[in-house]
Amino acid sequence: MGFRSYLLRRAILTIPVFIGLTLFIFLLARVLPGDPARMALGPRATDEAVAALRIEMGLDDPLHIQYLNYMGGLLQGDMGIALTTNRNVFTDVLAFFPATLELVITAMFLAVLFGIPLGIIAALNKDRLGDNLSRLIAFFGVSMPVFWAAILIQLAIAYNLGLLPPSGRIGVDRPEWYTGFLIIDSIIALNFEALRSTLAHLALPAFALALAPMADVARMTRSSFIEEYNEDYVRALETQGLPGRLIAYKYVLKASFASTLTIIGLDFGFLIGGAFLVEIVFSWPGLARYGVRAILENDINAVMGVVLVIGAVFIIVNLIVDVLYGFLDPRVRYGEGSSA
Amino acid sequence: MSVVERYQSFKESEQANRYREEALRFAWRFRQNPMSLFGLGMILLLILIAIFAPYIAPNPAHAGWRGEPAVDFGNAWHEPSLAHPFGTDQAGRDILSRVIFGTRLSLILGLVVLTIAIGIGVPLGLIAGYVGGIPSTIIMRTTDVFLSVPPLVLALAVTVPLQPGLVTAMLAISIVWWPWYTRLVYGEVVSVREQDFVEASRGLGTGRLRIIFREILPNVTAPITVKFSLDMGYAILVGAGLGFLGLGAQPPTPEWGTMVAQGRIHLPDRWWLSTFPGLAIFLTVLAFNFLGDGLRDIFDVEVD
Amino acid sequence: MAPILEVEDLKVHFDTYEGKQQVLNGIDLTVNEGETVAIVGESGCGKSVTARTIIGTLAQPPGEIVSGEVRYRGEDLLSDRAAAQRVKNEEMAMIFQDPMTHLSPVFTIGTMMADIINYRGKRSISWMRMIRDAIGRGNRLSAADRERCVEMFTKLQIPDPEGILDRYPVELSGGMRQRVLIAMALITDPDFLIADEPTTALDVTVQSQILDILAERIAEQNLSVIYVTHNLGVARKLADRIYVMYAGEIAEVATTEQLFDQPMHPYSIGLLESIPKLTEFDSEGIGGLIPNYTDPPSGCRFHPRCPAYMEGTCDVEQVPAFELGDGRYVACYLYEEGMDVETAASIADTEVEYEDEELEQFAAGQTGGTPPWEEDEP
Repeated sequence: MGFRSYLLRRAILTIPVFIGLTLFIFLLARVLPGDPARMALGPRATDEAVAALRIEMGLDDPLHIQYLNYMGGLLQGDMGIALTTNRNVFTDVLAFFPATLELVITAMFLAVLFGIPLGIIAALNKDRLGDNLSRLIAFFGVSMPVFWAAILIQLAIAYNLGLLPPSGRIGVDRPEWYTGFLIIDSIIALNFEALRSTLAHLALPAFALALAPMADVARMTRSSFIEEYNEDYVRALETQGLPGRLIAYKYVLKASFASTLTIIGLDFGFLIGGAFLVEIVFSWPGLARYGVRAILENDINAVMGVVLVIGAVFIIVNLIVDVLYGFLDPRVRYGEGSSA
Repeated sequence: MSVVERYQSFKESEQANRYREEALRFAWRFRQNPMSLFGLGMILLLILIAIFAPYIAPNPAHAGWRGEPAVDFGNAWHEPSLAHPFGTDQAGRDILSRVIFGTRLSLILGLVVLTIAIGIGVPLGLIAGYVGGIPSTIIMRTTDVFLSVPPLVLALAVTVPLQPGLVTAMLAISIVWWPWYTRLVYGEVVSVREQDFVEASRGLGTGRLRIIFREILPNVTAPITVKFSLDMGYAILVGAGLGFLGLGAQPPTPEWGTMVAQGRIHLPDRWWLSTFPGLAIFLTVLAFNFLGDGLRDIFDVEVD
Repeated sequence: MAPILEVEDLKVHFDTYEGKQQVLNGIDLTVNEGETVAIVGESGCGKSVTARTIIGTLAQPPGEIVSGEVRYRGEDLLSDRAAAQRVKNEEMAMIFQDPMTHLSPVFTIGTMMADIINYRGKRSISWMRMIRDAIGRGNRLSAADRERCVEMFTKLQIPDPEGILDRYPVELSGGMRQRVLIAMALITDPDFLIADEPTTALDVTVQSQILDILAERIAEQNLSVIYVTHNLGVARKLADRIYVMYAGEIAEVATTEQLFDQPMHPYSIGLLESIPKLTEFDSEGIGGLIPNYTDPPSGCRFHPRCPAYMEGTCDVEQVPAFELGDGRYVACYLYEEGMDVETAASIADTEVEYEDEELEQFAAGQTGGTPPWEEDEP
């Protein structure tokens, strides 16, 4: 089977998950105890006002009609009005999500950048000092509550040493909005002052967020690297007289990277979760902070929107991971192996 | 003896031998793995601290022992000292005592969450894996949907219609946790199902339930044990995260995440308020990760 | 003929859960220029360990070379690591038992051939070079090398020799993969080939094709070969001389005609007599009766199974190899140094008599299985 049909088949498989996700979010909002209209208006509203809002929100229609209405709205980019901001949730999401994505992607980049070499060092020094040290670092990374790590980093580097700003996203005027990603926007605008400030603000939260996935990536790289290194084909390559560096960094690394990829996909979800905590600590104006506020104020439309968007991104990321996996390991395309 | 009985008794003695052999190996490997021993030691210590908290804590009343946490405004904002090794908070409460009592909440949260998750997830996984067909499709597609949203985000969403509190947090985390076990068990069952000995018992007319309990369940215990240990740490992390966001235990409950959040307001000057409860979370999670990772090596299983 | 490889008193131990396994107990072995030598024995007798020790891929630990020398054209490969590296890289090649696991699953055949042709024998490779490779510049097969590969594939009777360069191993059958592995071993023109049961994992018709191809290559490229097998039929087809191995010791060394004409060592006799049984019994899984390597039998390791066992003689001291009149060596107290062949043959005929069940065990021992030191251990 060719790569293209693998890609197509894999993409089609995500559609039911998308639909399931919308159904799930819809049910979560409608079936769980609590009246969205009452929640929206607060405990002091009159019963008449609540009843009126119920009709306006379509809450008295049969469930399947409500779901269809919800889906119809979604397809037109209508996620309902956010009670906290009084804007369409979709508009809010577009406004806040780039900040979160920029943070999460930067953290993922850091995690891979440091995690993979750490894992390889550990694997090549198996059971020796280098291995034990990097494993210990990895253990610390996955065990630290990310909000606490964020606080410690903020305390030490921003407050005590004053090296980097403790909060916010940028310290000068924002560059003009093209993508919402400040790094990209400031490069487009050739505004290097803004770029410098963006990077300075991004460094600490991204690093705090990257600790756990970095540890995870390192652990996975280590174990899959060791596993691949014990495969028969590595012995064959050795007897064929290939240099050790070529065997380790070409053959073993490519084969083991497939497993690491799977972990990267999973970790992306945990990163978004972690962003909820880190954004609070660093006052990062992202979707997570918006979501937390929505939850605390029982803004059900906003919560549904945030969960839906995050779920959708997570699904897409995992689709990309699967496709890359199939690209790296032909066994997956031919249905021999499987992508976890 | 009939053929079936002979087969059963042969299998039983076989099984007993296998268990003994495995237990010996297990003990041998455990001793080879100092990290997991260390983790186990730390966990035992934590359990002792949780049980004897009222006797260990210098000031149990500050942690809400028999009533609401007491206040002592005269002693507010003490830096860590001999009298108050972890300092005191804005209401003059001894943070060490509160951290010690927090052990109880975190361990209970982890246990409750995982008990519910395993209680839902494992049977569903067994059904999906063993029965197959439409029930299997429904169950597994549902887990796909659950797993398509990051756990913390999903748990947050579940708390929306509920009153924030420790019980809500436990419930929310349990609801997002079971699909992991369903998936794990499902995968194991499908691979075990096709193995010879299960085919053999089926050929001999052994009932479905019996096959599940006698043949399949023992085979999934190892990965579940490993996952349980790793997840204890992770569930405690998520619980603390909810507390930190104000959606878990409410102040002045001495819950670690909540305490970190409360202390954060007074940063950077009063660093000790957040630092010590966070350290407690870190060490607890570390212990479970040490143990879980060791168990993973010992049982030689890979879990997500 | 000059010897190209001499192995002397090779002892290898394995450290396992059960204890120290004395797997090779003083192996002496010589391969002359252009000669094909077969090592024959039941699975688990240490044949593969011998092969791996010679080419230097013995896993250490758990393996440990206790004593001995492996001299290739006079240089001791065990003590001189640089020489070992050079010889392994430039002069030796190896083919393996299981073609399904010995090819990297994530690269095409063409990429692997290119790496072998371009980088074989290079001690190191610069990072720049690796990065250029990774982004697809450099490390392509030159037209001439491509031609060479295609020529080699054609000689190995691979259909579509041109197209196979762009295929992944997963797209090929076991027989094809084994041909590819043979091509990889032979493309760089080695002088010395070690073949570790390369046909065992294949089905019977493919086996004989591969053997024919291999025989042709050996003749044409004038290779010196160590061929490891448990199958006497295969050994007879390819080998000039045969080493019969039992439990980490050499039992008998003879030319192929000598051995098939008149085996002398009781173990060789049993092995030969059990051949017809192979077709009658499917005794897979019994695994023969290889002795325990942590506490091997005293004296001759074969004595507990030997029909000509002499108490007080065989179980006391390790048997030296006696050279018989026709130049073969036998490690058995039935014979004496310099004994002429007729006398020896009549001793073999009268003293060594097997029961049927015992022969079945021999047959079972030839069908494969996992040697005790290779079972999974932490």
